[in-house]
Amino acid sequence: MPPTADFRGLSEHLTGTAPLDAQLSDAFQQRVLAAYPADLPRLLAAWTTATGAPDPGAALQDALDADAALALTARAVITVWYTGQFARPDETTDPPGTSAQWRSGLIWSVIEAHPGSAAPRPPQPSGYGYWTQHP
Amino acid sequence: MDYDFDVVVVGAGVAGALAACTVKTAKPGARIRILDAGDNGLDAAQRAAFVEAYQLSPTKAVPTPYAFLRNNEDGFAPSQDGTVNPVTMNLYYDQSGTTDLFKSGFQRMTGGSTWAWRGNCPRWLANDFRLNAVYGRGVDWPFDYDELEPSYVRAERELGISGNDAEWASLTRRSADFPMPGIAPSYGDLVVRSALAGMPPIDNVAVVPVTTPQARNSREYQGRSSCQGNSSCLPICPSGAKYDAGYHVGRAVELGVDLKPACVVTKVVHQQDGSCTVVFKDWTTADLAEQRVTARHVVLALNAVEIPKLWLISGLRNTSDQVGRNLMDHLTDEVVGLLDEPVFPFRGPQSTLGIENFRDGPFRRDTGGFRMTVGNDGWGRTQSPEAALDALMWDKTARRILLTGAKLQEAVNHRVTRMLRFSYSTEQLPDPGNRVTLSDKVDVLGLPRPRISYRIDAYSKAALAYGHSVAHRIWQYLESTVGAEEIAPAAPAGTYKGSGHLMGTMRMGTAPADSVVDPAGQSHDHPGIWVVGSAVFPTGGTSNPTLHLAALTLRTADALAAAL
Repeated sequence: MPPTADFRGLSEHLTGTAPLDAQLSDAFQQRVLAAYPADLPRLLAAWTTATGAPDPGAALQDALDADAALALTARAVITVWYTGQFARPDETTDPPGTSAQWRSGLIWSVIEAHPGSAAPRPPQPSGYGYWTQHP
Repeated sequence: MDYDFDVVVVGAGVAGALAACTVKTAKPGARIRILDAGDNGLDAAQRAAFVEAYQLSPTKAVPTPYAFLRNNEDGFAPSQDGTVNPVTMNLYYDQSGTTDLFKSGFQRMTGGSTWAWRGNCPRWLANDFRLNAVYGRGVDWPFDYDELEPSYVRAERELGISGNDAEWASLTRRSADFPMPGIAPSYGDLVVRSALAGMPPIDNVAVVPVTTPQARNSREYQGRSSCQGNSSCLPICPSGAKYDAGYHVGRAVELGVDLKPACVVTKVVHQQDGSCTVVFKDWTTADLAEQRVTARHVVLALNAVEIPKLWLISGLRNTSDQVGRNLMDHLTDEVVGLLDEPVFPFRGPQSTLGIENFRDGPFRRDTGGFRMTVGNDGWGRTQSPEAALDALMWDKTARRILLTGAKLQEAVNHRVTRMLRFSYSTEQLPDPGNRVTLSDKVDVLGLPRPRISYRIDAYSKAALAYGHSVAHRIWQYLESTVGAEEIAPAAPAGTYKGSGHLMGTMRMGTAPADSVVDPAGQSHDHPGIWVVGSAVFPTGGTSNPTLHLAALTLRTADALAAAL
């Protein structure tokens, strides 16, 4: 498996969230690698190259725009962090590895909500009627 | 003659469990058995397992928490899986050759479909009972609202309904208060109420959002907590604050009712002395051999597909020729949009606000009435947050990444927090051609699967179109006042979805010539066989069926207890 730090760094860039959980990052890397065995290493190599550029973000975007397979892999990386699952190359869904992976999805905090079936708990505003308040 | 039981109840959903509790309470000495096709637990560990299965599911479709149950996985007691995609349906229903698809499924499990419902419990309107007398459509019920009203009061207490009396006093006459105050509004409810406060009437009908009465605790009730806002009411409430019939199944067992799970009834034989022999298979046995139990009375408490299926398999009399006919649903669709200001969905119950004003009016001569729901779940069935993310991040045509990082976060937040839906669930007339019969295809136990013939008539299509029109005009008003965008669809799409409201097929009426059961729920042809649940509805009304069927079940249970 490629260096795990590379995957986490790439993920932090693509999601705009740092730091991301290291254990979760390892688990997600394994899953995405299994679905994209050739393209994930290429994507990580592109990220390594981009980090040496004056504007790593722009350099990575250029690399993604030039290679649809890399872009598809980046989509999987973003989606797994947002939702705990992602689309394989054939568009079938790679389901959450654990329920905790699904609950960890960034999308819920991004939309200022919580995963369905997992109500917020203290110290977050929680309990009966929390939903009436502005988040 | 001695019978094994005084009463055998077939099915442990809300109707069966409530009937068993009510009869046992009235007649403590009565020997009652419930036979249920499911074999799930009713405790916290079982609920947690359902939640876990839901979280692990990649689709989050309604049946996902329950798919691992053995009756589903091994096919001993399957049900239609409820997916909106007719290609990927499990095809329990045989709908080959049908004009339109019947899209609603159910859960065959102990506690029944109330495991997977939203819990909305508005009462029916007075005119829902007399559609023919007032509008010349459908048929009338054999009794009126006022006669059922005391049973509504009891049903609201049994299920635990939260509601605001002041908001509902003008809609439905009430002789008693709701047992709990109305559920706390969502943040979006407050935004919508404020935004619609000055809205002029639509077609001379005032648009007044009101808190939806619901079987969801606004305080501790029946030993269940107040709602914790898990936002997954449909398909699974993790806290148990939303009523499910597991409560009444548990209570029935405490009262001394015998619950025999994992038993699929394969035949009901009505004997000459009026008693019944109930034949069943226990799917936990190795040989799946048929077993028999005798009873003075039998209560069929399955649903509007499984009851006529069992009746027809059993070869019971069908003098009225109405068994299996008049299958109904509340066909539903939604108009979605993005409000300019956030409503912050996916926090709290999936819906707490409705618009009841289009459930009745002179238009019902030509067009079905409809109940409207203001969602607290974004774009409902139109676009999930995950789909919104993908649309903002990925150009599937050019196959390129559109946004990443903070810009993607901002875009997702800006879109999803403003998502709002107005849905409409429409009235459907009884149509004798909408029918459950027996397929020549069989299930794992060798029982014929239900064959369904179904078509959407002009009255229902008009209701769907009118529902769209009203929802769209509400959105146009919002667009012109507080601001909104991406309102869709602009015109009726000609689509519909099921509400999971399976009704009709064992219609109630006074005359044996044109109805299956009498006003008490007892078979005209076979006294001693009783039917409870929404199968007995002669018309489908304009609101959710569960409170209504619970009220009817209490009436039937009273009559049955008196007959013991």
